[in-house]
Parts: sequence; C-alpha cells; structure tokens
Amino acid sequence: MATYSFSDLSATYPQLYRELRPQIQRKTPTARLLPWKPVTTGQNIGWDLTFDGQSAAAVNPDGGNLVTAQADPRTAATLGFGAYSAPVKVTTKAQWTGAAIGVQGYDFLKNMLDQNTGEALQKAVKLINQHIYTGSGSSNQMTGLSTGVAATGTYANVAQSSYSNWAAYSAGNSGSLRSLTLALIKKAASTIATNAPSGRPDLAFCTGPLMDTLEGLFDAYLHLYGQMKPGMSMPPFQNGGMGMGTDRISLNPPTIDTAGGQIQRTGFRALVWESAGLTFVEDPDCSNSAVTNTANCIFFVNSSALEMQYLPPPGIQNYMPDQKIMQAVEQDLGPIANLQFDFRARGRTTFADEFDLMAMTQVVLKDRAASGILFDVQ
Amino acid sequence: MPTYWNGGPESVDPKRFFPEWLDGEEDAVVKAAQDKVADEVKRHHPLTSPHRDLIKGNKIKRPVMFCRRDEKTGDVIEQWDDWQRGSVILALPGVMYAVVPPGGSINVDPTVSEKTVKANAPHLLNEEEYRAQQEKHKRTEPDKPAKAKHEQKPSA
Repeated sequence: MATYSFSDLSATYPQLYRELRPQIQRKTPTARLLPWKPVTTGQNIGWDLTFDGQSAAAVNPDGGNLVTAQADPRTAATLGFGAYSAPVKVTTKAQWTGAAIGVQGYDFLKNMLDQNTGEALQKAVKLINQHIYTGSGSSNQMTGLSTGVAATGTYANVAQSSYSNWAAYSAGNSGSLRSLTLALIKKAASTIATNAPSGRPDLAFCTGPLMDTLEGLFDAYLHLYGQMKPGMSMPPFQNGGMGMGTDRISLNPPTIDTAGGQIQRTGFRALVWESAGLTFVEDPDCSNSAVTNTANCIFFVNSSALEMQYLPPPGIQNYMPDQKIMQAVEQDLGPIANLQFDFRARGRTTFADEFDLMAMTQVVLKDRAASGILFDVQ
Repeated sequence: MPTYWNGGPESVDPKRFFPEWLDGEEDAVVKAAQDKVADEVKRHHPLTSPHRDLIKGNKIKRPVMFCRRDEKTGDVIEQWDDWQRGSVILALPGVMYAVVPPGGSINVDPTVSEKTVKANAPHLLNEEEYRAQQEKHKRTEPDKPAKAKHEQKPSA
C-alpha cells in the first residue's frame, strides 16, 4: 500500500537543479600565445629566404686581384593550409523539448544549438593546437613544428640538403631517456643564438611533467614572483640568497613578453628564466612526431620567427542566410585572437539542423635556424 | 656513404659537451671542467631505454612521421621495429629512421653532417672512433692462460 513516504514518492520529485560539468580538457596555450595573422597571398603562404653566399676577403690594394662577386642566394619558401572543420547537429525534437522545459536549473537544455556550436568550436581549436606540433602536412593537416623544427628534411619546400643553414638545433640521446639539466638548456639556447639572425630563443614549450622537472632544477635559486599587492616588496637579501642567485626565475607572471607584445597568461603555467631571457610555457599537447619519446621534448622558438597564419573566410554571401563568421574560442577562456571560423548550414535532409564550422590555418616557422628541439629528456 | 656504429653505453664523449669558453684557461681549471662534464655525461646521458609505453617485448613503436599512411584515408599505419636493450635509435626527419642494435652499424646519407648525426644519436661512432674503441677493448682483455704441458699438442 503506498504511503506518503520518500521511498514511495521519490520518482515523482522533480530535479530542481542540475549542473553541466565538462570532463574534457580542451586548453590551447600555444594557440593562445602565438600571433594570428590573415594571409593576403591567396593560394599559399609565401616568404623569401636568403642564405650565406656573399663573398668578402682581405685584399692586396697594391695591384692585387679583385674579389669575385658572389651574392647571398635567395629562395622562396611556401606553405599550404590545414583545413579544420567541426559539425554541429541538433534534432528538431531535442530543440523543441529542451526549449519547453520550464523548470529552473536546466538552461543547458534550452540553448542546444549554442551549446553544440561552442563545443564544436573548442574541439576544432584543440585539434589545431595539437596539429601545431604534430600536423603531418598531408591529408589536409597543417605542417607542424615536428617537421619544421628539425635538423634535416624539407620544410616549406626548401630542402636542408640544398641549404645547410635551413636547419633547426636538434639534440637527443639516441632514443634513450636522460635527465634534463640546465646545462642542456643553456647549450641549446646558446647554439641557436649563434646560428640565428634573431638571436636567442625567447619561448620554449614543454609538457607538464617536464615543467615539473624544470621547476625542480631551480630550487636552489628560486625567486618567487606573485601578485604584488600595493606596498609589498620582495626583500633582495633575505636568507642570504633569495633573488640573488645566478639563475633567477619567475613563476606564473600575469603576462608573457613576446616579440608581438605582451600576452595574458591565462590557463597555463609559465616559468620565466630571467637571466636566460627564456619563458617556458606548459602545453599538454606539446609533442614531436619525429622522435621516439614523443612527449619528452622541449621546443625552443623565437617569437619573432613563429606565427599562425589563417585564410580569412569569404564575406557573408547573400544567398546563404545562415552563414556567419565566428571568432575561435578556447575552453573557458574566451576568444583566440583573430582566428575566424566560417559557419554554414547544410541543406536539411532530416528533422535536424546541421551546420559546419571551418577554418584554414597554418603554423609558420619563418626562420628555421632560430628554433631548436631538445628531446629524450625527462 | 659514411657508416656509423653503435658504440654502446660508454661511447658518449664528454669532450663533446665541453664548454667552449674554457679554451685558454689554466690546466687545473680545464681538468676540473672536464671531470665535471664527464660526471654529468655519465649520470645524465646513459644509454638506457626509451619510454616503457613504446616497447612491447622486443619491438619498439616507430615515430608517426616515419610510418606509412593508408592511401585512401591518410590514417597512420602503426609500425613496430625490432629492438633490444642497448639499441640506438637514429631518427632524421626527411632522411631516414633506423634502430641500430648493439654491435650493429648504419649507413647514413652523406648530405647529413656527422655533427647532426651525433647530435641526435650521440652513441653512434664514426669509423675512426669505432676502430679506436675496438682496439681499446682488445688491449684491455686479459691474456689467455698458457696451456699445461700435458694439454699441448705434440710438435711434428
């Protein structure tokens, strides 16, 4: 016999409040940090390179021979685009029934098209962030840094075998893991500075575990930086060494200095090695598809030589009333500067509204010699 | 075509990691730096093994860049290569990929400089270094004990 008890009536109680919590990590630190520029050269991304060839010599001005003229050779570098798309589909019944919910706390069921579009944008941007590192350059993927930051091989249609300077610094350990040391990093930065016209690298990307190892290397010289409150100052001589060590670092500064300006540091760890002029950025997607231990690597780049270029979507067409141009967004952190997605409806063939988001973009490493990869480290 | 040999765990030359700024310093300073670098090389550059997730039995997973792709879909076809402890992996994008077992050798395209090969796989030795290592091993092997009189073959 039923009674007015919770156990008998619980199935009839409404859920007054539900919260939607995503369990997916779609952060994109590298995409957020790099500058995004629209392509104005149409079919391909193109720029020109010069290599060493100019002649110069000590001469005998007393009737000696003239120096044979030789100039620095020029060659064109070109890259194509990766094309990235994500679909959006919400059935008619889901839209109608979701919109009809009148109970408080179910807003995530009332705006399903917006929800799906947001998730599709985040997923596409996440895939772009991953392919910045591992894009193969084929199958409509962009050519990633695994190909660009290498000491051998062709990048941007320029062969390293033809131009020996078209090579990045590359240092491994025969496929075996070894300990990360400050000496390895210093050697990488110094060698890149010797080879590159833009000088020392100022950015480095690595995964979280390597960032943890890196922080541990600085324990003896740690100079902590935090949110300085008004009137607060960091004592320089406290404990006989705080802030006075040879190698000084700052952890998680509010902004990161790049050649393109200051970038807000939101959603990722950063370590600024001040005395080396190097900022390490943590990105879980950092990976090298050209080495055995794919996640055990650190990419060194100069921010003046690395950027993202994208093909701007064509303008709104009159015959496509559902077409929009949307700003790319990162999970929870808002717009990624400048990257635009084309949003278009598919022709309806079922009781569902279907759309496609698409962007065409490419990571461009303009000076291969200004970059480096340190791999087989842990 | 240049050939490189797997020099084993002891083949990394500390002098290649020698700080250049020490040129011209006093002998004692140079010696101290050499000892420090040798210690660092021994501790931080051992030939141990790749990440355990990449090894299944006696096979190692090939990096994606060097794998074949399905013609129609473009998907990567996973490939595994023979591997044993002590193998040296040489991965040169756009040129070659090889797993060199202990005692093995590999021919490398002459367009790749020795500096690049050794930067990626410091445990590979060129021909001269390999011969020197072999000579060193021969000299350090103990002499075989002389046979007892009753074991010696009678002379003709």
